Amino acid sequence: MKFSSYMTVITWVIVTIGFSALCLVEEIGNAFLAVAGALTLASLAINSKTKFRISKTLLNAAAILVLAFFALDYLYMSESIVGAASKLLSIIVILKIRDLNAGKDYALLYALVFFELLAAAASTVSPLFFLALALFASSAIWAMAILTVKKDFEEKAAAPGRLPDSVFGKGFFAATLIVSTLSVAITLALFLVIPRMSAGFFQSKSLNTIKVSGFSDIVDLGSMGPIKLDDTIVMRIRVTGRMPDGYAPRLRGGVFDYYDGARWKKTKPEKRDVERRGVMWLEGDEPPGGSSVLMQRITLEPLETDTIFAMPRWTKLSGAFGKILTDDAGTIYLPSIPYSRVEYTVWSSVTPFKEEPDGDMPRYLALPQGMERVSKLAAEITRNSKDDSEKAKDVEAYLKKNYSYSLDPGLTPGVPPIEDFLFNSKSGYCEHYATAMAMLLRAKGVPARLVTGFMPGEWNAFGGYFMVRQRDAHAWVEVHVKGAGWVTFDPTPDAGITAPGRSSDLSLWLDSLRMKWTRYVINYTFADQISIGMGMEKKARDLQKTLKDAFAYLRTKGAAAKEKPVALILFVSAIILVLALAARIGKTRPKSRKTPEFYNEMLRALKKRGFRKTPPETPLEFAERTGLDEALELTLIFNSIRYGGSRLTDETRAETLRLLAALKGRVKGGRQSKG
Amino acid sequence: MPERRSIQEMLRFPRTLEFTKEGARFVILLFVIGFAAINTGNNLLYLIVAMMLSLIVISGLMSESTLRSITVKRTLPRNAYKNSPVTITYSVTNDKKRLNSYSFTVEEVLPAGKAFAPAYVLKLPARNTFDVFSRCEFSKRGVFTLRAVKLKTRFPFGFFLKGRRMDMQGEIIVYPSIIPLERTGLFSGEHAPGDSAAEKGEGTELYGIRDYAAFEDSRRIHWKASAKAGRLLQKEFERERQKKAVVILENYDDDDENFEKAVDTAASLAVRFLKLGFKVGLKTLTQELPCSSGQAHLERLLYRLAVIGPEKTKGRASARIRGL
Repeated sequence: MKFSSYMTVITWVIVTIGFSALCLVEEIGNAFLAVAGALTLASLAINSKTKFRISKTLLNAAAILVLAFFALDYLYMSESIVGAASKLLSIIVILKIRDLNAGKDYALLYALVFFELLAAAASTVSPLFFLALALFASSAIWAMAILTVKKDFEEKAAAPGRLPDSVFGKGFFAATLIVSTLSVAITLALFLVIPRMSAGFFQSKSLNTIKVSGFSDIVDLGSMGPIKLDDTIVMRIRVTGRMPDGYAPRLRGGVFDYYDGARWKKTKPEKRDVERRGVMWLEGDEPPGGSSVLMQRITLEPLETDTIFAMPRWTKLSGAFGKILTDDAGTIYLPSIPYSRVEYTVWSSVTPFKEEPDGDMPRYLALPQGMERVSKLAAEITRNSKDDSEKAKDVEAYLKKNYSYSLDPGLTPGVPPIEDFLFNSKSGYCEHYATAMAMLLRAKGVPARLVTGFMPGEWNAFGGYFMVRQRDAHAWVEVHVKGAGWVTFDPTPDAGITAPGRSSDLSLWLDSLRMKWTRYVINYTFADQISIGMGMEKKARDLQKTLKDAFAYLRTKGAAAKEKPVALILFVSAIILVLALAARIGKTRPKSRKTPEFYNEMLRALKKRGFRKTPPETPLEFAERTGLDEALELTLIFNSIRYGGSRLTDETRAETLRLLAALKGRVKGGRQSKG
Repeated sequence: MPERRSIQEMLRFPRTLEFTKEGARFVILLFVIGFAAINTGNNLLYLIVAMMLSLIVISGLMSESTLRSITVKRTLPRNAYKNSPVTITYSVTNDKKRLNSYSFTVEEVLPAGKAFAPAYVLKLPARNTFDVFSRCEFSKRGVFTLRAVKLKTRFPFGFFLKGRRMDMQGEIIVYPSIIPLERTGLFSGEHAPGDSAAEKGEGTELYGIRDYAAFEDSRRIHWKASAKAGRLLQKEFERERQKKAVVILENYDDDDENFEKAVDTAASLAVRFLKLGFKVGLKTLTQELPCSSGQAHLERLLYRLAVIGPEKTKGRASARIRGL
């Protein structure tokens, strides 16, 4: 392939990768991307057909305009340095495409694309970033190798001219592909081992948060309705532990004790620090022995709340947080809203085990004014109930049976929503059901409170976790039962709990991929490195033990080992065989250049006289040291043969014989005279 | 001739590595992004750092693949004269089975301040040998010792200049410059020292023609001249005479320019008279080389002049030729 064709193809590929990376920058709007994309394509298309150099004046004017745009964008439009810088880069790339002539122009363009990737890295958490990075690395390897060869050829070749087309054949392309794959593998290996440390002089990246409702100190009744139609994933949860039959896991968020007829409030919103012990935060007592404990590993998307979620009755929590807070209802808080994904592990007891002191109960029994009809209905529903637990069950069953689930209940304006729900519309969604149940129970003197949070959502079999979406937001009731503590009841009919429809296998697989990306790349921490290190250490110890057993088996012919490690012995033997073969195949015999025999003979003769050539001495240096003309002349002949490419002709051979004879004669003479 | 390696040679790192300008920029950028990654804890920046480090590793592997299993055979010029360009030939062989080598140079390892033009190899396919050339010029006469060649490459990314030294001894004897003698006034081209009237004898050159006498060798009859004269004439030959000359170099301690001029003149005289068929000898203040002829003698003589230095006695260095 011609050099120019190569460069055109590579430039198209690299610029496209850069633009794709730019699409991942969250701060850039679709309109800008559409315009920039069209201009980039147009520039590439025009440049591949006609090449022209932009005049310096035009370039300078463009530079001033671009800088002005950047300043305006940063100050008034994007208001984000990453967004503004990304836009600036995309404009510079478009301009640079129009000015590609020398090798260094191409190198500069590729460097600009690299900066686009950097901008994306500062903004996105998408796994597509890795794809863009891998493709860029492969293309850059290809491009840089070609540019380097071209530059070397132009600078160093005796007659540069045009670079021969045959240099970059299919073999070169294949080798580049192999090397690129290797580069990606090395990148991943290095990524895992580079020590993670965070000095934190600058703020880490912030993502756009997802708006949620139901987790602030005040919740308006009906505020959850709109989000029940939102498919945005808010968290992914992996649960370990045995769930009893019929247990419906729920992720608890806000807990409310005061209802004023239209909204729920927290009367004790005060937060306190949770006790930290090592890497764990501990809350309250350990559940009694034999209680089922569920471990939940939660990856929470950046939500617009400082609340983090856990199944009820949490006792332990571990995560990379500086501080954890809680309130008297056991809601977990971070010190501030996390503008990034957070990952934590939390342990919760399945069974209730903690009773609330009686002195705290009155606030869970308070009713707003005008609840006479509600109280009457409560008495009717619970007329046969023996205790608080039965009352709660009866109310739950009544609501489930007699009311229909609807996200558009059509409540009458001016009528208190709960009365409207219970006696007029008889349809509503989780908040109406939960509030109604709490009010009905409170009317009968049973302490109850409203809890907001999420249902576990859809099970992803590919990743082994639950995908929790906005639409899984839910409200339910906690009832204080004597002897057990706060017990969860959910009066919402199943139609309002079960997720509508099921995601396709492809989307589930892609989500599991995203989850893995988040877990092992975005949220990869020093703790993970330690864990991997310890795992490897254990594996190494196991291997060492297996090898020891294998050698013991071989040494004692099987007496010392309980099992025959045949597979291991075969494996090790195969490796040794392959290595030996590879070494043999790869070995090339060094080509020896034979020293002419007359020179060896001369050296032997001189050795007899006490002259020994030292390794660093050149032949002529040695000959000069001997002070013998014959040695010098023989060395001159030797040099012309050894280094000068001359051949030993009959004439020179006769000359060497004559000189050798004379030399030997002088050596003998010397020795005799010495003797 | 097996040569033992010195300890210094054995301890020497088998490869040399230098940053290029682009490489230095790349490493600075790597540090900046690494710093940003540490500060923000952003794992995608760590990923970019890992990618950049992997490029350095790949660069090392590819440059090693280019320089590995390359053998070089150097052929030095038979004669080198001061201030005259000569060509060194390198037969470069890629002994690898499959991998080609790209874009590398073969350069002599020379003392600081000296450099020959490197010989460049654009692409050397596996199991192939190419001859590449380096032109060089010597500004001083003497024995120029070559101890090693170095293969150098910036391949693949131009970040580093990697070198592989290959110890390879060689010597070039740089003879004095051969200057036009006409300018020196020492030789006119018409009269050479030792020229004198020819004498009759048993040589091969024609001396004259005279009448043929009976019982003389009939092979000497000059048939063409006899036909013209109408009587038998026979050829007479010159006496074969040995032409000898000695180049006298008075190698007094003079200033460099004069001294070098004298040595150049001596070498030029020796070359010229040997070409004219003289047996030429050399006489300096301390050495004497007997008269002889032939290529080997010429080289011997030029070698003496290549390495000669001034004696301790101050005086004007000069060269001349004396016929014998």
